[in-house]
Amino acid sequence: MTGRRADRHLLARSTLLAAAGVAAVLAPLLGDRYTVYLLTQAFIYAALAVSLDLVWGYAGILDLGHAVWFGAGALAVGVMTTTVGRDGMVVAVHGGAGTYLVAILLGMAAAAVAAAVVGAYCFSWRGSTRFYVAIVTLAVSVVGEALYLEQRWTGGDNGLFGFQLRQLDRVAWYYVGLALLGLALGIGILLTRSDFGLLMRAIRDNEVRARHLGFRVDHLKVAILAGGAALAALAGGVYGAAVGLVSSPLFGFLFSTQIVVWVAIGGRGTLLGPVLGAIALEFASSSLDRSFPDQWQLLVGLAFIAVVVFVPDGLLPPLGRLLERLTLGGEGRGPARSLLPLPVRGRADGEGEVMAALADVTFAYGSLQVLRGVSLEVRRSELLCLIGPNGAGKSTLMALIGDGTMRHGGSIRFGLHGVDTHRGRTVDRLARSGVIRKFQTPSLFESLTVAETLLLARHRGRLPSLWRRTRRIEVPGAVVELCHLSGLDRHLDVPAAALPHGLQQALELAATVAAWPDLLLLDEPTAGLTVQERRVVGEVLRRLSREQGRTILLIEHDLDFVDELADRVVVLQDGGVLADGSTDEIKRSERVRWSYLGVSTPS
Amino acid sequence: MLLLVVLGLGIVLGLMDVINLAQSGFMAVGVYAALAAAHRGLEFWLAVLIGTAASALLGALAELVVIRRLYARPLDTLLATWGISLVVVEGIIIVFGHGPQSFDEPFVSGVPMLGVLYPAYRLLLVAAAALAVAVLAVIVRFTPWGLVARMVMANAPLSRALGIDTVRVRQVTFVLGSALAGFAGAVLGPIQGIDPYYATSLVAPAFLAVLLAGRSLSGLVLASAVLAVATTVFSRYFNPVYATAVTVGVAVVLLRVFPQGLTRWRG
Repeated sequence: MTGRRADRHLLARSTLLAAAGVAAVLAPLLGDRYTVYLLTQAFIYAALAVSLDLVWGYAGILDLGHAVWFGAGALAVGVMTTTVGRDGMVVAVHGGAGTYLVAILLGMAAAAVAAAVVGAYCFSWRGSTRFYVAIVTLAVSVVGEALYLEQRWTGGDNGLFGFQLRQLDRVAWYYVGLALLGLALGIGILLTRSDFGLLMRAIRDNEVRARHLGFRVDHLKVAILAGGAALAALAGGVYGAAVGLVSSPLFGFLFSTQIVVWVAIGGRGTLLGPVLGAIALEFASSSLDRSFPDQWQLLVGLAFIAVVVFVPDGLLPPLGRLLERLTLGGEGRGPARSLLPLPVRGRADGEGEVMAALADVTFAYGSLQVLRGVSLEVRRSELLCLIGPNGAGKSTLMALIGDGTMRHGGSIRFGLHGVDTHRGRTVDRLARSGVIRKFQTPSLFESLTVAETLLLARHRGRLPSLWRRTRRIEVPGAVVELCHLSGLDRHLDVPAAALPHGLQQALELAATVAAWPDLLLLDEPTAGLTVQERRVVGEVLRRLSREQGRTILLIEHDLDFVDELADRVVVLQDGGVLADGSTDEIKRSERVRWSYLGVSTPS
Repeated sequence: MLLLVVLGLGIVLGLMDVINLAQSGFMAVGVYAALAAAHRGLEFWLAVLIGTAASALLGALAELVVIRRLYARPLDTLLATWGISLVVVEGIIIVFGHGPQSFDEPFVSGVPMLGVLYPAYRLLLVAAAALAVAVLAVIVRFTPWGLVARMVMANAPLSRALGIDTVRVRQVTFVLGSALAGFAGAVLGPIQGIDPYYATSLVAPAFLAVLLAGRSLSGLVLASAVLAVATTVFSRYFNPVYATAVTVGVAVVLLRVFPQGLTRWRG
């Protein structure tokens, strides 16, 4: 969006928010005691919804046990401020404001640790899917509720009660609730608008790609889940202190799904949507529950189904678009981020050194032997083309070089800074050391724009800032050139999913180059491109290797292209190296002509 | 007992990649419909039949209105079916009220077995579960419909290209799953307390059993057996509440060890 338009948009939005804020601040002067109490509760729930939105809406981790973290916060306050008698009933309440504060902090710490354990268990496993996390968190919720009932220190069936902090009256609690919501929203907005927010969405969109750009996806997901749990526990602690009640349903599956409903109906990944969803549903259900308890729940259920089926993004995005059209008209957006070329570094030293040495590498998918002893060397700043018929094992070989955890025979050694052996090194570890792979079919972060993708790629696994929002992205000159020649620079603010195929290819290539790898693995980067586009890509690649010392391993089918580009060619056939030499040597080789080109004698 | 619950869920998940959190809702519909029929003086088995039919009908409706639109979005299906169960439960509350209901066992005699008197009705349930498994196995293995269902399960786009109405197959499967749920709900009625939240406690273990089972009937039997034994042993020797926790824990760990299901551990 152009500057002025963006300003107007921001102004409209801030005015709305400010109006809502003023209304919220003044509300207790107008409403009756019960309304004030309901709103307080709704605000706390809204903060809880924000914490789930960060975890689920932004990072894509469906946490069906989110209530447990909230419950843990409330329970910590309850346990530290009450004395339970032999029969499991609360007999005394004690503790001053300080105790409450410490209890809330302890609750947050406990929830974060518990969530980190659950997360580490779920995410450390390679075969883990999105469902597995959902199932395990669901199980945590079921188990949590069951265990709660059995403990004396939790009050068992009755729960703990009567421990609300009495120094504050209802109106004061109202403002505490409001402040909590403001804090949660503030954290949420800061985080999601920062560079780190991009990474969260990147992980949600395409974990594999994030890993291949060097990010420690598993650790990040654990951290995000733990952070969300801590925020939920904070809300729970405030709830405990304000309401003075904790019991097993707070941990249960039903309450967990309730939170999911708020977020889903409001609009996951919008922060404001879940807040409005939680406040509206909670407030409405509390007021309507008394007159039509059952019909109301039925309605909520129906609304939930309708939202899931017809507006999976939730209600806020379509409403927001409507508002935007009303206030701003339907004009397109200009670039909000721009690229800045980095000064070109000189050629790297050590040209001709061995970058990667493969010795007798074998690999099999089950009983299918794909690689039968491949030996080859890739030297620094050379452009090595890998050719061969379909099924020769080219892509497998490339995948293997980029992932040290695939079980294989033989050895692969690198001449990179920091890594020499390959075995056991994860994809992200290798990517951080400078081995980056481009997939055969474009693998991108669908909701991230071109500029955002390049920004993340630039980080190559380094943790992006949690609060800063980078607008000028410094990228190597080659990336600027690629973007300019391919036309990507006219689409810097278009989400990857909305790009045509050719530009998606170009974007993934640009992103892998932006990561500035020492060893670039390219699996048919020009597949599906026009002749013109190919020439552009070829030109940039050649300069990358000759002038800027990058080493490139390239799979290619177009032999003319190979001829123009390659320093050296390796022909792979049937899982073995058929020939290895300069393009001229390869072209002259009888065996290659016979097996690959289908010609038996030079004509 | 778990097996009966799991069966319906299993074919739905296995055949359609739909995780049906509404299964407990369908079970509740089954038992309440049967209850209503029984109150009007119908025979027990006739009432069970009506319960089964009612939930099948509801399943057909749910499939038509909701599930069909979500085949491509499995996570959303999970949410939508949960919404369905919410609606069903509230619907039941509106019609039948909150209170617990009871359903008399059709016969109260016991059969001496291994020295203890085992209630005949429970034996019958075991037999019914075995029969249902057998019938399903025969259908899936040996009938053309079973073949088609397995085709759709293996590769839906290809089946569609071969002229198979995959939507229809999925619909039939879903209805069958709902009917089984209704049947399970109705026959389990007499040995369980009945309230609108009927069977929600069974959903989590059943759900885990299905995931454990992978996509085969034998897996289903094995998985529900493992979980049922774990639960029984634990509630016998320790605390029944811990039993739930342990069952869930066992399932979660097993699922990690055998992500494809128990019967495919070699893969």
